[in-house]
Amino acid sequence: VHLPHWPIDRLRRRRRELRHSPLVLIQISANRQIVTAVCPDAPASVRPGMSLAQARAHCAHLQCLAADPAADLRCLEALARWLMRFSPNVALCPPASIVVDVAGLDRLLGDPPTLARRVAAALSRLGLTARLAIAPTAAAAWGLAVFGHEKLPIVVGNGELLGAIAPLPTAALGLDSLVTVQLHALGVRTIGLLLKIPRSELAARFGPEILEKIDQATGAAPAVLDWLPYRAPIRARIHFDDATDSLEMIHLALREMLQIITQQLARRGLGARELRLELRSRHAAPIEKTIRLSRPSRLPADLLNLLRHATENLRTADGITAVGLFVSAAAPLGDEQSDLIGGEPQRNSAELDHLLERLRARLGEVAQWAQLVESHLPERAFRCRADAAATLAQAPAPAVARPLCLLPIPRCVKAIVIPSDGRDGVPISFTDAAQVHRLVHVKGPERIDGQWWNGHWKTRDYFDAQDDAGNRYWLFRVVQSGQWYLHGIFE
Amino acid sequence: VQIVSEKSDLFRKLSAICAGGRRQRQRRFRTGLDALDHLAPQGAWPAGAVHELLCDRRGPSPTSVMLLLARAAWSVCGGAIVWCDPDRQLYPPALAAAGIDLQRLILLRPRNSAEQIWALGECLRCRGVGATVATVAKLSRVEARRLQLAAERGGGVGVFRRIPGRHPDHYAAATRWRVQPIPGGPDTQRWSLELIHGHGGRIGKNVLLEVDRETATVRASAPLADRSAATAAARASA
Repeated sequence: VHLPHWPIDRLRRRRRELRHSPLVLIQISANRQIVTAVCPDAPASVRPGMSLAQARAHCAHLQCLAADPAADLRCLEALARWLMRFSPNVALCPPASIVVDVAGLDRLLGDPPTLARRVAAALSRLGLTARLAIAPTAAAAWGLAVFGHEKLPIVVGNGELLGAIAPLPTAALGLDSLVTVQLHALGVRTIGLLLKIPRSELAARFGPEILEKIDQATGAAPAVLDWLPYRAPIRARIHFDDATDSLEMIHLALREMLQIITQQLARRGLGARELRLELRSRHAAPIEKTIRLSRPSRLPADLLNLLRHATENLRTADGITAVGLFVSAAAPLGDEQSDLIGGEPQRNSAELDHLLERLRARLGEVAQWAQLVESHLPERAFRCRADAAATLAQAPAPAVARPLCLLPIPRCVKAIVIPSDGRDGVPISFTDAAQVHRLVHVKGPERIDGQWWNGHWKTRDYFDAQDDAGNRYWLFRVVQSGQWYLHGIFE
Repeated sequence: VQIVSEKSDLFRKLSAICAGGRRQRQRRFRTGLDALDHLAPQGAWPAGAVHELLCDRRGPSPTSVMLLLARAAWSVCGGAIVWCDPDRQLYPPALAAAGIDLQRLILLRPRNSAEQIWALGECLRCRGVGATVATVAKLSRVEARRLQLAAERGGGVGVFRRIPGRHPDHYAAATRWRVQPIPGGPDTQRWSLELIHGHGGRIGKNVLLEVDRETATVRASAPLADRSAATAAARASA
């Protein structure tokens, strides 16, 4: 399985807003921003290897994100584990390929073309572009997937192997790039031509590795692949005799399943970090709930409590027929020492973690943490994150007066300014929601420029204005248009 | 066997465990503004309780007063500060500038008031939360009582902004204050706080809070009219 647009597909799968505009990934090296990956819907003239400025010249509305090869690899491994639903033997071929051993699966999953179509359909449902090839050897399958013809999936039987790989370029053998260039210079452009050269001469000219690669592709030598170790998922499922809508029944089933699950967790020395609960009913789609824990746990009582919160406001039309519970993330958990005397701070922080878990289980991501970000634009100076409070790096707090209440979107107001003709006067009153505020003590302006490097040219002049009732507002005027906005309230 | 003397740390810890969480001595906190603390019951604000600020619907929310109380409560109770902000209007950089540790600040964004009241109860009940701040529109008698009991169990402080309206408003809070903005000076913003409920407090007395517009430091002073009345009374008694 080769994923030609892997880093881009990965990001777009996770972040919906990136799907609609051309996207490139960049890597910063020696003060230059180099494009490393380009999405398929960008103009053809934008290619990896050019600098970001050149790419922008070809396509002005290009979005760019920093490349993260480590995360790409991590997610590739997760995808490989997901592919274990088709075969127990799966290996990674970084940067963007996965080898799946499908030998002997015909009777379970259908003949190779059917199987390839099923895998391709499953991957396209995940939003990934994939090139699939099935061949008798792993090396040949990889070469065909990466360099093969456009008609997919490519399925090659035992007898057709040499014929299928002959037209491929020599790079499809996974050779060193230097060797490929040398071969190219000699006029040996395809594997077919390479195979015609006597083996002893190849070894003398390019070393023994090239023979090894050829043998691995043709099947003369076994391929050495680093198969991912299989980890059995921790899951439990209970089917009811008949559809039930009693919550007690479901809780009873959950209690039973938690016993099984916590025993398995204890045996492996793990604690659950994320539980996935699935409630199946006869006609409707299954209801899925995810419960995330702040710290790994395998205490049945705690987990049951969280599951209770998650199921409390459950609505079903025709009852539940089966309940499934699945540990989707786990972390090592030692045997904790419980302290009887003292340790109040630890107890309190554990209680806070439990509180956050309960909130999350019942209401979703309602608890968030603020992170200050370096930005001179007031509305961009912070970000809200739903995870990991302690690890957020905080930018310094603003040194100038800022209101405690900032409207998410500045509100358009009408203001009267003295002197009335100039663009740099001071407001004496403004009207907001049909209410006139007479301003008495006005401080300002504080000028804040827009992000001109992003095409936002508007400059704002901020005023800290107090009205005659004692309310204090944060108003700004857009210098270019003269329009006034209410942005915040000093409360 | 170690003989445990009555003055030792161990004895205190053991007796605290025996007494259980419920009967522990009630903690109190001070805002550090003498004129304001002076009005509160016995000169300090009880922790493990809800304090309500009544504020007109049309006026701005007294966020700086809530911040003042939350910070003071947090310095005594520790733990986290939960700030309920369903409209996403709270501006964390200003809180950070006012000395709040953002790693300990949890912003709560419930979708409706039922969710909010449930979440507030959970936060108040939790010992890991030092202060819970929210604007609460309407409470039933049972809900108000439940929140106060939750605060007593958790030991933290609830700072609620309440909006007086036509509905009968129920409360079970330790103190209730009427807060309103009053015209300020060129460099100060002023709030008037009047204690309207609180056992042992100076009910009916009010205090003036002055917020510096540059540095956001707060000073409290008894209003002038009140002070002249006090001196007149002193003179009469003399």
